[in-house]
Amino acid sequence: MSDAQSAAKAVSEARADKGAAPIKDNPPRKSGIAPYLYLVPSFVIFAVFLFYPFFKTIWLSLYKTNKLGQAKIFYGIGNYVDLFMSDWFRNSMVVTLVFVVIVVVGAMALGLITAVLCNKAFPGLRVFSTAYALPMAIASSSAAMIFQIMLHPSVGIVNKLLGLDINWLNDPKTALWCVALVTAWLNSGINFLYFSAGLGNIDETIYERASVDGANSWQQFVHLTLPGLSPIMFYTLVVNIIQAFQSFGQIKILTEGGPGEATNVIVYAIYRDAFFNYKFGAASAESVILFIIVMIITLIMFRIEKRGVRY
Amino acid sequence: MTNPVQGLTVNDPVAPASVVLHLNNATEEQLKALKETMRQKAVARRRARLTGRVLINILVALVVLLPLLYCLSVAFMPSGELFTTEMNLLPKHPTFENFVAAFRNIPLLRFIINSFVVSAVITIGQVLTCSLAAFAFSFLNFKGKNVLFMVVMATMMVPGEATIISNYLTVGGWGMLNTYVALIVPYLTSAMGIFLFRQFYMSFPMSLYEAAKLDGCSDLRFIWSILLPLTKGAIGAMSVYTFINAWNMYMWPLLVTGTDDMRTVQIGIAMLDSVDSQSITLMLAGVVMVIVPSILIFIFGQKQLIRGLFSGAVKG
Amino acid sequence: MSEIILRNVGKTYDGHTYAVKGVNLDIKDKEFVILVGPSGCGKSTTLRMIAGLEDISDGEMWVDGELNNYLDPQQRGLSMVFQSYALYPNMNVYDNLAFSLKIRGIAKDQIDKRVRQVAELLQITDFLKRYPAALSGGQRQRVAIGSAIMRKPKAFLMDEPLSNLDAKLRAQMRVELQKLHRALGTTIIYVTHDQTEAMTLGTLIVVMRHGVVQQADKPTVVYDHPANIFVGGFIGQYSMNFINATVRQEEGRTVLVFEKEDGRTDRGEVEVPGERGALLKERYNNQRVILGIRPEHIYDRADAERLGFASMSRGISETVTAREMLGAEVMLYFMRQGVKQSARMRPDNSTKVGESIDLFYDPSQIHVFDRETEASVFAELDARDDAAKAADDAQKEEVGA
Repeated sequence: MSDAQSAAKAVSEARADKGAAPIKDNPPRKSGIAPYLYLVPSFVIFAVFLFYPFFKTIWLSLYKTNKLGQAKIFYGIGNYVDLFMSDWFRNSMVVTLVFVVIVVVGAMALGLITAVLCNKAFPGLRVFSTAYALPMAIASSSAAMIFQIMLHPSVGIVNKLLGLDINWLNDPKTALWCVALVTAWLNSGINFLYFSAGLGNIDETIYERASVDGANSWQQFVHLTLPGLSPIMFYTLVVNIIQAFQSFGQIKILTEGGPGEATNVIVYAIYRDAFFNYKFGAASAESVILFIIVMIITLIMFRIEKRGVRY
Repeated sequence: MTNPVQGLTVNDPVAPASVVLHLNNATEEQLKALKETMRQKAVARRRARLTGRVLINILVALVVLLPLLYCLSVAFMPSGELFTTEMNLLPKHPTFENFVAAFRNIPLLRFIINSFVVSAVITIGQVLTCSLAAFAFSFLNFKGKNVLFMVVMATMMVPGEATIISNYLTVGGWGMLNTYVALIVPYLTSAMGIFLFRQFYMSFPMSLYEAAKLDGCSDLRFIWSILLPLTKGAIGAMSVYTFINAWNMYMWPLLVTGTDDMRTVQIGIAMLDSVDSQSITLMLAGVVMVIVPSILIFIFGQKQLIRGLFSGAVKG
Repeated sequence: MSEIILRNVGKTYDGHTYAVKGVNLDIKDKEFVILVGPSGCGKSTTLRMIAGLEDISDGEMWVDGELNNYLDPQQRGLSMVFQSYALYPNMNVYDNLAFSLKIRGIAKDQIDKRVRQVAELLQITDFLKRYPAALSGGQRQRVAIGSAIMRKPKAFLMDEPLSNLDAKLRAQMRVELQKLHRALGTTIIYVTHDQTEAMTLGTLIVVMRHGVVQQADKPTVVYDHPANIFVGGFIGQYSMNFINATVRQEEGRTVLVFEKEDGRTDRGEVEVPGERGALLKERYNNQRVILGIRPEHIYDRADAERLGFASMSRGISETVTAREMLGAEVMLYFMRQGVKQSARMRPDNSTKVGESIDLFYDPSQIHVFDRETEASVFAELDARDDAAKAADDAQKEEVGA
């Protein structure tokens, strides 16, 4: 029993001794503004920096702005139309999609592998667990700078180890992959933690039963471990997708959206349009589109989950 | 006639001949010899499995840690050593000159102080605002409680990009660009923090709070003297997580800071980023100094962090 | 056809303390073996060693003459039902049942036929599509048993399968298990801490304590001739009464005299006739022993006279401290030598609390245990009698067949 619980228990018993009525687990109906006061600090911040800007962004997206970001000309859905008609934005959406897929698959695969490796006790487990989770503590910009050197065509360790001479970040064919793999590396840490927790949730005795039933290690992995991860799998997938869509630092540092438009994901496009082109209206429209895409994907995932997971 | 109750007879593989020893025809010595060989085989098999597991882990860990190890290695390389065609994984003449130069070339100390102040204040701020809000959601009852909580949860869905531009314009409008205020205030609360604390508080019996009230304890006093000491676990977990995330922030500081005296560490070391030989080793030395604090905090706070983040998920 | 022999089997985790030691069992085919004992007695560990889930530290396990010590669980050809049922949570009932056949690559239609057979047998056909999370405890338990009987293994292992059920369901399932055992015609090795389950289900009862087998024999033998104080006290619906006594000779008869206690002036003695009396005289005369008598073998004067042994108990007079009216019988409780003792009486017994009653022991049901070894003094005589009876029964079966 935790300290809190034993303290409360003692109190309850003392009260019972005094003949007091048993306490129900429903807090008393309180009128007055006191409760709301406790919410004020958080909600003020939410209001100013989340609710207000959210609506302001939507509002701004309907306008053309000046360099200071003030809405000047009402443009309706013009910004949106322009974007969808433009080649570069359509390319950006494709790039983003490809990027997200590579990142999510990569990060989850790596997280799964490392979690499975740490599932059984062995000497040094703690050290390895820390190592596999470590990427989550690294800033995206720092990681990007390291990979920038690693992928350097002449001095980089990657080319030296593989014996190749590829200009990874400047070749449109490889740039997106590189940026995506850096992001996957960054996100693998938290996935390791999620999957480790998921693996820990699996009841040990079903493995014993499977052994007596005649299943070998591989069969146990396929029929027991993988399905056992499905509850956490869904949640991890959603978190990974949302995080992938928000990747910025590594793209800015490694490729700045290039070469050409090869790594111009929507987030970077927003940054570029707002702070280099000063087209705040267009940037806002891009933000809204990004938000809607993430929303739709999340909703689809929830819909699939309702039909899928059986626990 | 087959008994309908009896199960299917399955033809499982017969045990290898070396193991088959009949009770009737086995002598004591044969038995002893067999047991010894079987035991040794079993021990060897177990050891092989363990070694295999350790080896694979070493391999995978090296791959995962390669960027960090490489960064460390290059940070200690004298700048000349970098530009060779041969494999240079480790510095031949390790030196501290990159680290010293990093402090000289850019106001690294200032950046570190900025980051530290910003991260610390954000962390403390989040712990306070989130625990207060969570307290209200767990222990108090008021109109619209559920709706407001839903609203908080909904904010987790909104990606930063949807608001960052407007926030920039807002802060600019106040003339507060390039200040600590701009860096800190938008992040003084978090939906995840409220959610985390609320989960924690929900595991406390209501009688704890009611007993305090009956004793004449005010709400604030209850929170300060009773509730917070009991939530050390959640506070620890959240502090580690929030501090590291604040330390690692990139996009927002990039937008709102413009001068060296305000820049945070992540933006600052990017100033070391240019591609000639001098600066690569310099740059990675800077990176090392920037990631060391977050790594250390992570390593020491790991247990707290995991326990706090997953206490809800684990016990069904 | 399966014979399982455990020879000197033991289990240790650190080389010093033994969770199980010196277990010798000879389990013939179709036996219903029950490993029974209090928590921590080593019964589950023994079962797990048989299954292959724990290494056997000492001794050997022979199945049909083959050494099994070093086989993986997968290679042993057994089926097991776990206390927590261990149903695969991500599979529905159908797939749970089919699993052990599916991984062996058995044809789908054969599997389907067998699944439906088993589901019909255990009345779980309606749940085939459901998932374990949506089943009640009793339903899950039947799925667990169903999964085990899908194949014909060399033996069924069951680890306290009824422990998680409520009393009524447990009683129902006991009957079902009995029927199942007869229908299956396969050895069952079953672990429980409940002696009622053990006695009603088992054909071979193995009583364990502190990792050591106390006695392994048929239920009637374990009940009639417990090997030591522990078995005597553990087995039986009502706890056996234990009394400190001294062996004395009186007018040529061997009697057990209850030891005095403060505040009691009565002597209380009971005669031990025949061979057993002679043995006591020879080995334990004038020594202290422990007398054991079951509550159901204690009678009031009327019954004792009717049954003819009223004269053999003298001065056993007790004051009733509590009384339970249980419908078909009355339990009387009293204190002797500082210990609570009990006697089972006919339902029309009207002795009230505070009244005293004269008690009479059935001399053929008196157990005597050595004070130091706690073993039954009459062990050899009992063994001889049991063997004779077994031979008798075997003969009767032959004749009757």
